[in-house]
Amino acid sequence: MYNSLSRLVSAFGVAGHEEDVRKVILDEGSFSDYRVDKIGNLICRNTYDDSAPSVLLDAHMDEVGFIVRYIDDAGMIYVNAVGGIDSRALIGKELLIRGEEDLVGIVANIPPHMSKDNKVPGVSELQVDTGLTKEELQDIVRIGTPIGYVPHMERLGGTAVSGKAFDNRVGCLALCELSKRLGDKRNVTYLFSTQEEVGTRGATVALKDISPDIAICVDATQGDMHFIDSPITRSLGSGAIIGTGPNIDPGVFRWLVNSARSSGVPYTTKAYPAPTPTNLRSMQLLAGGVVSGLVAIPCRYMHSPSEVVDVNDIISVISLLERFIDDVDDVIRGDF
Amino acid sequence: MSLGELSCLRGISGQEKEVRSYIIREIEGHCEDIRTDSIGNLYAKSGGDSKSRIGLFAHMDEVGMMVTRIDGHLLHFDPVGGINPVLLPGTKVRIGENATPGVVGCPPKHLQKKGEGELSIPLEDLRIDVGDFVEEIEIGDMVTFDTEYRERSGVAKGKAFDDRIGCQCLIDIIKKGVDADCTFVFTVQEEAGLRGAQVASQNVDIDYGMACEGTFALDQPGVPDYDKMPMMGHGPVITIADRSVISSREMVDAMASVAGTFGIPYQFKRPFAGGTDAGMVHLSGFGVPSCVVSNPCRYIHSPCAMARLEDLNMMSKLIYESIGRISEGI
Amino acid sequence: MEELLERLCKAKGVSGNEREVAKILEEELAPFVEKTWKDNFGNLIFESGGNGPAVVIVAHMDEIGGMVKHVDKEGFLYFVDIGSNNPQQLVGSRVLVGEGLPGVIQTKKKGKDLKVEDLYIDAGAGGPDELKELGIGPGTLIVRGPSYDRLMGQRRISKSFDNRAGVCVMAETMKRAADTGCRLIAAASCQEEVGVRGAKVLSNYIEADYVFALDVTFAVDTPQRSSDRDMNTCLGKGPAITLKDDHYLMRPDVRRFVEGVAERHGIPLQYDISTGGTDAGPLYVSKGVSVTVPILIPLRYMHTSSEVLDLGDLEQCVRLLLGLIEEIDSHAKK
Repeated sequence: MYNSLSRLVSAFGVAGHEEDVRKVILDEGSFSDYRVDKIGNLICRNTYDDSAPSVLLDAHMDEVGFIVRYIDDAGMIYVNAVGGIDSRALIGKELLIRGEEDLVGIVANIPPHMSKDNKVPGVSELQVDTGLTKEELQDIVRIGTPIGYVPHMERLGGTAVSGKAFDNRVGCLALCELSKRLGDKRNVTYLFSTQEEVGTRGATVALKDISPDIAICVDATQGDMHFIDSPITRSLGSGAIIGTGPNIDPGVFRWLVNSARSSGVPYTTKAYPAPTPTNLRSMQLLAGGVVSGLVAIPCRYMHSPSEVVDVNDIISVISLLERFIDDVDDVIRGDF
Repeated sequence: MSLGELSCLRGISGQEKEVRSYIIREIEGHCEDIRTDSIGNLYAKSGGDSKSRIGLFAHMDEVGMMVTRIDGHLLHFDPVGGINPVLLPGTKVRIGENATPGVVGCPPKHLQKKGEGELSIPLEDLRIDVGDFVEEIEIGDMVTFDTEYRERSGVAKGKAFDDRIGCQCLIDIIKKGVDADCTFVFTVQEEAGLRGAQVASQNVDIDYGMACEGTFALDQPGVPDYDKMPMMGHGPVITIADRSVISSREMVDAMASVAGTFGIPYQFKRPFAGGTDAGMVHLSGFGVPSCVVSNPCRYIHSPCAMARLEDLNMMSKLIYESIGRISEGI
Repeated sequence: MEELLERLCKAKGVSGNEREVAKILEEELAPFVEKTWKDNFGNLIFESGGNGPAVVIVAHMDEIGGMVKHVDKEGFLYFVDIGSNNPQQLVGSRVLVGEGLPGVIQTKKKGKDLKVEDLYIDAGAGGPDELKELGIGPGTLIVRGPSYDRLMGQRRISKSFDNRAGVCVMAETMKRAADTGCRLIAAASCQEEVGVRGAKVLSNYIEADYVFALDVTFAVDTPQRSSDRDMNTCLGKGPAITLKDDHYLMRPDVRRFVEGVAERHGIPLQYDISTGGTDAGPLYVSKGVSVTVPILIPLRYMHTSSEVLDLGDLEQCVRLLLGLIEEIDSHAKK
C-alpha cells in the first residue's frame, strides 16, 4: 500500500489539472467501467448488483497549488493560490511548474541578516525563481500555467509517513483499495472528484447525474498538531474519524459507528456543527437530497508541502467502509 | 395555542426529530400526503384546488450548540447557527437526547483582572459544566437553551420563537383548512444555511413561495430611533428584500392590499438584513416568485425571545387571506 | 452599436427591477430572433438560428444601486446597498430616486472609513409626506443618474457599463450572427449583482453546448494601479478571458480553442485571474451545459458613477464571439 500511496502522491493534480491522478487511479484501482465528465471527474464502477442499495463513495483527486499570474522582466514568476495555502509554508520551498515542460523553481527569500522584520508576504507577493530569464521562460511558462508542490513521500517513525497531497490522495487510495476488495459485490459507484479545494465543484457536477441511496465522502481531516489544542483535531493513530452533525445523516453516522464497533476497527467520532469542509456540504443537498456520511483520515499540516499521516488510519477507513457496505441493506431499512 | 409546546421542543439543525414528530401529530387528519424526505423536511398538502399553487415554508430547527469535545465535567461546544457569544456565559442548557442539564460557566467578578470585564469572553474559552463526567453525553450531542415558556398579558417569552412561531402559524392555517392548492413545508437546517429549503425546493412543484419566519423586532434599547423597525405589537412584517431574496413585488402588493381589505396592521422590514428559506425557493426551477412574512420578536437568537401573541394572530390571518388572493392569480 | 450602448446605459435597471433594460432589448432584437420569452425569475431569453450546436450568450441586465431604508423627519433619505457600492465614491454622486426624482448623495460623517449608513440623499424634500405623495418611501429603488459622454478617441464614460456593455455586445452579436447554423440563444439575466441569482435560475434548465458569459473586469491601466504585476487588463487591448476566479477554472483545451479563434481573426486577447465571480459560475457546474467561457470587457473605475471603457474592445468582443460561433458551426458541419 505504501507504493500505491507513493504513486498517487507523485501525480500532479492541482485543481483543474487532475489528468495525471486519473491515470494513476485507473492503474491502482480495479474497475470494469469508467467515464470522465466535463469537469474531469472520474466515475468508476464494477459490474453491479442492481437490487442492492446504491452507494456513492467520493474522494477528491485535486490538491492545492498555484496559478501563474505574471512574469517580470527579471524572469521572476508571480502566482495566485489555487485553494487555501498558508504562505508561511512556502518561503524557500521548491515548486513544480507544469509548463510546456516541467520546471522547478524556488520561492525567493531574503537572507536573514538582510531582512527587516518578521512579516511573511502573502502568496500573491511571492516570487518563484527558476534561474531562467524572461526570454528563456517564454515558450515554457505563461499566465495560467499551473504550479504544484514537488512530489515526495518518506517513511517517518512507526507507521507515519510524510509527503505532499495526502489531502486527499489518502482518500483516493482508500477507494482504490476498496474497489479491489469489494469487486462486483453490492452496488458501488466510485467518484474521484475534481476541484474540491476551490469549491466542491466536481462533486456538484457529478451529483447532477447520479442519485445514490447513500453517499459517503472520504477526506482528510485536521490531525493533532502541537500549535493547536482544539476540538477539531484528531490524533494520528486514532483510526477512522466518523463525522456527525447537520451535514451527516444521523442514521448513517450510527451505522458507521456500529460497523466500526462490530468489526473492531479503531475509530473516534468528530462533531461538525457547520456544513463540513468537504464535498459533502454540496452533495447532501443535490439529487433531491442525499443520505450522507463522512469518514476521514487525520492529517497534520494540511495544505503545506509536507503533510503527515498514519498509514494505519487509512487501513482503518478501508476496513470500516468494507464492513459498512456489507451491512448497507440494513442501513437502508433503518429508521431515519 | 400550542406555541408554548412548540417552543419547548428541542431541535437544532440536523436533529429536528422531536419537532417533526410533534408537528405530524398536530396536523394529521387536517391535510393530505404527509411525507418526509431524506434530509428530514416534512411536507403536507392541503386538499384544495386553485389557479396557482402556493408553497409555505417554516423551519423546524432552532439555533443551539453542539458538543465537540468532552473533558471530564466540561464540554467544549460550537454554535449551530448564529449565536452571539456574549449571550452565553451564565446560560442554562440541556444536552443530548436525555436533556441532561448543564450551565455555561461564567467567571466571578471577584477574580476579574483589570479591564477584563469589558470584553466578551471568546467562544473558544467557554465551556458547558455538567457537574461531573456524564457517560451518556457524546460528541455531536445537541445543546439547547433551557428556557421556560411564559405567557402574560398577551406577551409570550421563550426560546426558539425563530421559527416555532412560523411553524405555529402554518399549523393554525392547516387546521383552519385552506381552499387552495397549498404545499406546506416544515424545513430542516435553515439556521445552518437554508439547507433544508435547498432540498425541498427540488421536491415541490409550486408557482409562488412564502416563508413564514420569526424576525428581529428592533424597538428595544440600544437601537437608534430611525432603525427601530419593525416593532413588536405593530403586526406582521413583510420583507421587501433581505440578503437572500428580493421579494416578488406582485406578492408584496397583493399582501398589502389584503391587509388593507381585512384591516390587518403590517410593517416592512429593514431591507437587506438576514436570510430565509425563500432565498433558496425563489431560485428553483424556472424561478418561483416568493416573499417572506415574519413575526416581530425581540431578542431573537438568544436564550429568551419575546413576542406579542396578537402579532401572531394577525400574521396567521394575513397569510391565510393572502393565500386566497394569490392562489386565484395575481 | 454605440447608439444602443448609450440607450442601455441611460436606462434604470437596479437588481430586481430590470424592466426598462428588458424593454429596450426586446424592441432591439425583435426583428432578429424567432422567439422571445421570460422565465419566472425575469431572465429574458431570445432564440434564433438553426439546428446546430446550442450556443448561449449570457449578460446581466442589472446594475448596482440602492434601496431606501427610511426617511427622516426633514425629508432626507437613508438607504442600503444593492450590490457592492464604494461609499467613498458615492459622496457627491447624482442619483435618481424611484421613477425619476433627482437627488445627490452626501455624507454626515467626514473621514476615510465611510459606510453606507453614514450617507444620505438630498432630493430637496421638506419632509417624508412630500416624498410619500410621489410613492417614495422604504423599499424605493435608487439608481445612479445617467451620464453618458464621449472622451477622447474611442474612450467613453458612463454609469453602468457594468454590465450594459456586455448586454450591448450580446445584442450586437445576435444581430450579426443571425444566419448561423448554430442554435443561438441570448439570455439577459437578472440580479447578478446580488449573487448571480438569475444565472442560478438559468443553470437549472438551460441546455447548451457552449455558454459565453459576458461581463466586465477591472482595467487598472491608470495611476490607481499598485504595480504592473497585479493582474489587470488594459483598455484598448481587446476582450479578456477568465482563467480563474472564485467560481471558475478554465480547461486548458477550452483556452486553446478560444486562443485559436482569436489568433485566426487577429483579435487581441487578454487574460483575467481574479476574485469574485460572474454569471459563468453557476453555469460552469450546471447539468445542461458542456463548456462555459467568461469573456470580459476591460473597464476602469468599476461600480462608480463614471466608468470608462474603449469602444474598440466592444467591437473586438463581438468579433471574437462571431468567430467562436462560426468555428463551432463549421466544426459541427464536418
